Amino acid sequence: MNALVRRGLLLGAMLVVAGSFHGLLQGIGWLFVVGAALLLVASVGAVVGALVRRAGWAVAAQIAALVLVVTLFFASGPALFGIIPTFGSVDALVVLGQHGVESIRAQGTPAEATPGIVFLLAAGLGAVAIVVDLIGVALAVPALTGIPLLVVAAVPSLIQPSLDDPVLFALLAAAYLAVLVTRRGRRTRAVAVAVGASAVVAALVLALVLPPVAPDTPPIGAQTGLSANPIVDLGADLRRPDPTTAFTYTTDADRPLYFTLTVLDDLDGQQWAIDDGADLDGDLSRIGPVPGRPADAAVSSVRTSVRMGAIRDIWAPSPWAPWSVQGLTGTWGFDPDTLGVRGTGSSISGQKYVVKSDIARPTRESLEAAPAAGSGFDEQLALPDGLPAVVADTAREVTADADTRFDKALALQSWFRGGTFRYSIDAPSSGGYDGSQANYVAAFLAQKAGYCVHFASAMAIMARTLGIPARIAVGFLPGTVSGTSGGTDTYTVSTDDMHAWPELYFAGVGWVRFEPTPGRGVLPSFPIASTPGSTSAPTSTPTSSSTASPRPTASRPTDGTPEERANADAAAAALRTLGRVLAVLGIVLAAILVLLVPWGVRRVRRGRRLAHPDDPLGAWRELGDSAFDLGVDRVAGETPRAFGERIAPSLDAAAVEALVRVRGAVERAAYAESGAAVEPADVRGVIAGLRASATRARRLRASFAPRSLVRDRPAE
Amino acid sequence: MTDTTTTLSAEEFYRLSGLVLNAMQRVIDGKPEAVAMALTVLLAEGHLLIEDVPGVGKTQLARALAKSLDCSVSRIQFTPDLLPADITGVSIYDQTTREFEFKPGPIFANVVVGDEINRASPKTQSALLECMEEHQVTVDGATYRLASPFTVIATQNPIEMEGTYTLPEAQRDRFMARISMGYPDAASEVAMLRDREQRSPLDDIEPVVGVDGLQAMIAYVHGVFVSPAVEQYAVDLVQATRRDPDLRLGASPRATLQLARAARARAALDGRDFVLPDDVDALAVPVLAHRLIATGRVASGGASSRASVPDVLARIVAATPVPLGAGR
Repeated sequence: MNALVRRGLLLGAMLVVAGSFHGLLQGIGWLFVVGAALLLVASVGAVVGALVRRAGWAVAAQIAALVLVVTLFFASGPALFGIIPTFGSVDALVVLGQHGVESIRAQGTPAEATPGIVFLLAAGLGAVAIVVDLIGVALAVPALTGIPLLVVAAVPSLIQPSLDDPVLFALLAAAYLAVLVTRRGRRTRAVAVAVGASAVVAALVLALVLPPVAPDTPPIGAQTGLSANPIVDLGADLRRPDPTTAFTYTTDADRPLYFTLTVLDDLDGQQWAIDDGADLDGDLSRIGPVPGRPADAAVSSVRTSVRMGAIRDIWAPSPWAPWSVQGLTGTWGFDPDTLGVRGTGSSISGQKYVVKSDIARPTRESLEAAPAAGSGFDEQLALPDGLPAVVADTAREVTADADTRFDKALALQSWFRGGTFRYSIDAPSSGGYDGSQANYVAAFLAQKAGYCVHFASAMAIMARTLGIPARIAVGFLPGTVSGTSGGTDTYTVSTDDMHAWPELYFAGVGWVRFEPTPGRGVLPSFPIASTPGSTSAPTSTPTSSSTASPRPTASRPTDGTPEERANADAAAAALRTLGRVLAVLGIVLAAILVLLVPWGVRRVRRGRRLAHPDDPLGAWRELGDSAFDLGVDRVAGETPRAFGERIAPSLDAAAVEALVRVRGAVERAAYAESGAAVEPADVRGVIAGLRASATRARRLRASFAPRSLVRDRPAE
Repeated sequence: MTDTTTTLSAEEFYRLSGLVLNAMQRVIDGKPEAVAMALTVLLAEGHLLIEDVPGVGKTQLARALAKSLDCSVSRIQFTPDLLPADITGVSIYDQTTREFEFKPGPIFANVVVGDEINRASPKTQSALLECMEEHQVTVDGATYRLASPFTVIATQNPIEMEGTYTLPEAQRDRFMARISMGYPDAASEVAMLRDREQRSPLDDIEPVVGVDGLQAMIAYVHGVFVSPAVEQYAVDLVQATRRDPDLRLGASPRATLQLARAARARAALDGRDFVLPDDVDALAVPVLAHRLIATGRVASGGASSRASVPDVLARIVAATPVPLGAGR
């Protein structure tokens, strides 16, 4: 019955721990999924634990239950009867887990609770619950459950310190204390300090090595109707809380694609402007030529089928640069300067079309070798009227160490993403520089907070001050995988995925996309790609095409622009790998450290107790604890002499002699008028004798999970 | 006969006690615990109740102890018609002096062996028990002090027999300890057959310690140190008997006192000048068991009801935490 109560309390503690993630995730639906998994794990543990005495069965049953429930929730499609996992469902779960990781990286807080994230939470917390159950019930050391509980509970508030929730903390502390109370034994203060300290240390280390999450990123919304000049109202769009599906697509590209609506290169005095008056070319089967791209440029051709949602827009989103768009109804044409596909009097809403694109795959070498742009780029080098000098100065400062134009561009991008700038859709409006006015760039540079438009605009203008032709593209992030049919992923792009980014021109290569906006993309991965940066991962959103039952709809790894291809930069790749290895090593080290805490506490305690030969009682307690660690149970009402007689049979002659000496000293110290000294070597000799007679498993347990730390009273 | 002084060193005490024990063990084969217990009670100035079936050597033990000491010994065979005056003595009118003259009874001796004490009438029993407690006799208004040291070694038959009067609890409380001899093991019994065919081994016992020596030994026992931890432990044990649901009657404060005294004597006999909790543990059953009354539930609880009180005591001893040092 005691075990049942403790399981209940541990379940409560785990639910509180799960609840502590509420500030990181939107909504509470995920909590029900995670809670159901936790409840199932605890119930299975209680039932099996009541039926079978051996702890191993309960753990095995709990693991099986967790696997089944995770399969049922997240990979029922390929599973037998929807619940028995198959290889297919394992694959699906692996993919889902990767999506979850990407999704965590890509999103700010509070993040959309994508199935990937919920899966990771349910599986992870379920595993923690099994461990906690094992420690608290089977091993009967409830005090140690504090370590996993506190470590996990500390993660959210370390990711975002503002999430410190006193109520949740109090609940967790209460549950933990109640768990402790179910044992009548008292923890020593040293154990309490050790448990708390190791939990905090572990949580700190975890926070350092876990992938960073962009702080303070509010939920992103967008309006359902897009205007002819999308950039104008982008900020207002992003602040609207009612995102819907913009479109879905399938593609034969080997990676997700950015979709360009149009390109803005005209700084009309103060404002990035759409060249509305451009003549449209009506032959959508032969779009081109691509402005600025040499004929021999490395490209890859992709074919993309797009199905638009119910949004009103005059632009047809296409992976740049499109050379054929088929299937549109109404009057459509393309702007020869930007290759933007635009309708005249026709809406894109509900249309289905197939777009074929040549996506640039420039090599890093060609970018590095790009000479200054020739003539004909006056418009793309023009600066806004009355641009404050600070902008050009800053650009020079930031790129002072870069040699080539490409390096300067990279330096700019790194500067924006380097951590000093903050993604915020609120700062600009409150700071009075919302919108696309180019002049606001100085205010933005001072405020260091804004959203994609500001980053794109600022980087483009700064590039222009450095003599690099630059423009802004407006479009969509690649979206998220919402389903798979016949081996082809279907992506869903939400109005949330609306985005703006700068494109810089390099002679001999063409227009190259950069991604200076932090928080809406992972850190750029230059090494692989010859197209730098743009390692933007999308935020994911619930989509209308999502099925009601949880299905894998996690965001897709998008480490690299669709244009990126071979010619990897080996050094940078190695660096990234090194980073991952270091992170894993850090986690492993932290885990080892946490595991070593009991050993260390025990060692220190032994040293302290044996440091004073004139304190035989301390030495005796140490001997009792060591014996207890090695499996010699404590017996209430046992005298030192009786204890000695109990352990003597397992000792060799020398150890018995040492034991007799120690016992004599202890008896004198405890009960005679004048005390006696004890020889620490004698105590260590007895302990060594005990160790020698114990099994290997006992010795390991005594070293690394000494139970005397948590139970210093005889069992009742 | 050994030369003694009033203050003994530890070595002297140990030597003297060894002499007494050796002497007694020559008579009582294979019963070192009973022998040691008898000496313990003697040195603790208590009285010993030996309870066992006839013929296992109860009286032998009492007489062996008496004979190994060079002091006055008297033996009273209790019978139903024994009167209190037969124990305490009587005042007789001396016609020559025309005064009442007190004729001391057998109680006036250092060691009094009372055989089959439960065969005497309650009135006679209580006369003896009063002497035991008060160390004095009052006859016809005059009070006579008993010898010092003074110890009563009484035997009784545990089996209810016709014409016996079982000692009531209140009177059993006067005895410091109760032991039973138990049957000797086979080897001891064979040895006994061989040795005692011709003559009684009691004849071989020479007194080894005189009254002075005995008093010095008793004084030495007084000096044995009882730490506060052990005092607390003894009190805890006794109090636990009063709380235990399986016991109808717990041990008295007198029991606590005698437990501590006996523990001192045991520690001294073990060669220590301080008492261990182990002494208290070892004495718990002899010193406490005869004072306790089990509830009916335990007493009549099946086949093992006879051993129930010692069992309960053993459980209490096992459950009572042993304080380690003064600090805890």
